[in-house]
Amino acid sequence: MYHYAREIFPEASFLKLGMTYPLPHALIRKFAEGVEQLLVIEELDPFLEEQIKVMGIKCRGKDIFPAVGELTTAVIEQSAAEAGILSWEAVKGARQVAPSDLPGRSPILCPGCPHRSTFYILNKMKEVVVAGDIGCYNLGALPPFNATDTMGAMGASVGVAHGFDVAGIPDPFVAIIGDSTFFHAGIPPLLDIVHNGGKSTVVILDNHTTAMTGLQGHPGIDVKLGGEPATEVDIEAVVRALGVTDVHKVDAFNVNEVERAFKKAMAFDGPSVVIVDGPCFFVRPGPAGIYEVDGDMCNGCGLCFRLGCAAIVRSEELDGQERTAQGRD
Amino acid sequence: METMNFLITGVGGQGTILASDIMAAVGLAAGYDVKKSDILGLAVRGGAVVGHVRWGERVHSPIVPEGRVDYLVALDPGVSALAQSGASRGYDLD
Repeated sequence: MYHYAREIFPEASFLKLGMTYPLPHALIRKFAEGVEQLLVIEELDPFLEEQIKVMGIKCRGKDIFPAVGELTTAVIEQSAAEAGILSWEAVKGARQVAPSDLPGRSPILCPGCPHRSTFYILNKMKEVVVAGDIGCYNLGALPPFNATDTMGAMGASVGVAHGFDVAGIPDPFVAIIGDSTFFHAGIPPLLDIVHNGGKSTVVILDNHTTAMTGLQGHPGIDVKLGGEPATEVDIEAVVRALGVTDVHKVDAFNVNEVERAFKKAMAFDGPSVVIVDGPCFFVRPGPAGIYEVDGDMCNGCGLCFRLGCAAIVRSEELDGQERTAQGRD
Repeated sequence: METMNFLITGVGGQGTILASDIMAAVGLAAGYDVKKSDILGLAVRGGAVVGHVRWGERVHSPIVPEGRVDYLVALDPGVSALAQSGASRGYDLD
């Protein structure tokens, strides 16, 4: 934001603060005395502006710049022009609005991803509310799955699900968390669920790595962040040690098995954990290897496109109908 | 001189970041003050990749200010159209 402001006010003097609490009063006062007009450019609350005013220094800030959102170059420029500080002639560049029919380029789950089964199933279970976490499985929130309702921080999903439970929401719900995020911050809230008599179902997606950030190690596998050997901690053992008795461990690549486990766990009157076990494709391909569509068996129904797998594409010879690769209807 | 603004857009695997690195190196070799910033990360998962490169006498913002792209290197038509409109910094998660 500092650099964006320097773009817009190339002739102005700048005081950039590295340490903002406590404020360097003498430094600010000296700077203010050397300028005609003092503008405070800060994102969100007028934290600095108010303190500077309390010091008795005249300045402007939130009467010009918005109190919410990122102060991009365009926002700073526009706000300054509207406040009459910059002339409109100086505001260069066209501000076109994106045509609304342009498709976004969303990321998708990789071909061979073990998470696909979970989100395919959750997408079918339309009434289930899904508390999501942070990781590759975030992509289950996007089309064609649209199967995540909340997304906070690493480890948040388990606590959120417990909150749903305690608040007494009428809908069925699950928490989704990964192996890495479970170890990071999912253990204490799972303990909360057990201790407080919750009935949540926690689905732990164990892909044997921390995939989204680049396949780093975590306590559940035998390597540390830098690749050094580490003790492998067993998730199922941890979950049982926390007092969860209804534990299901299923093969991520067996869709029916995963679906049965979800249903059983959600019906169970008490805390349940489903461990969906399947390696990330970048760790190693799934146990059955790589599949191919059998052209002779394909009847062109298009159901496979609902999986959102980029490796499944329309065949000109076998299927002449128009369909989108991501199965959007 | 007015700062020259380059935007390189594509999807994962097309060499967008490599192009952005090369553009930055060329600018430095030509004696300009250069700043660059790339939006990457979800390239492996088929998401958009955008490289901002700026050459000037004294460049402040590493991100090309909205609506001020001078040269657009478009490796993927979809991402490039979004980027060209100036409304998106890279990709939209909706």
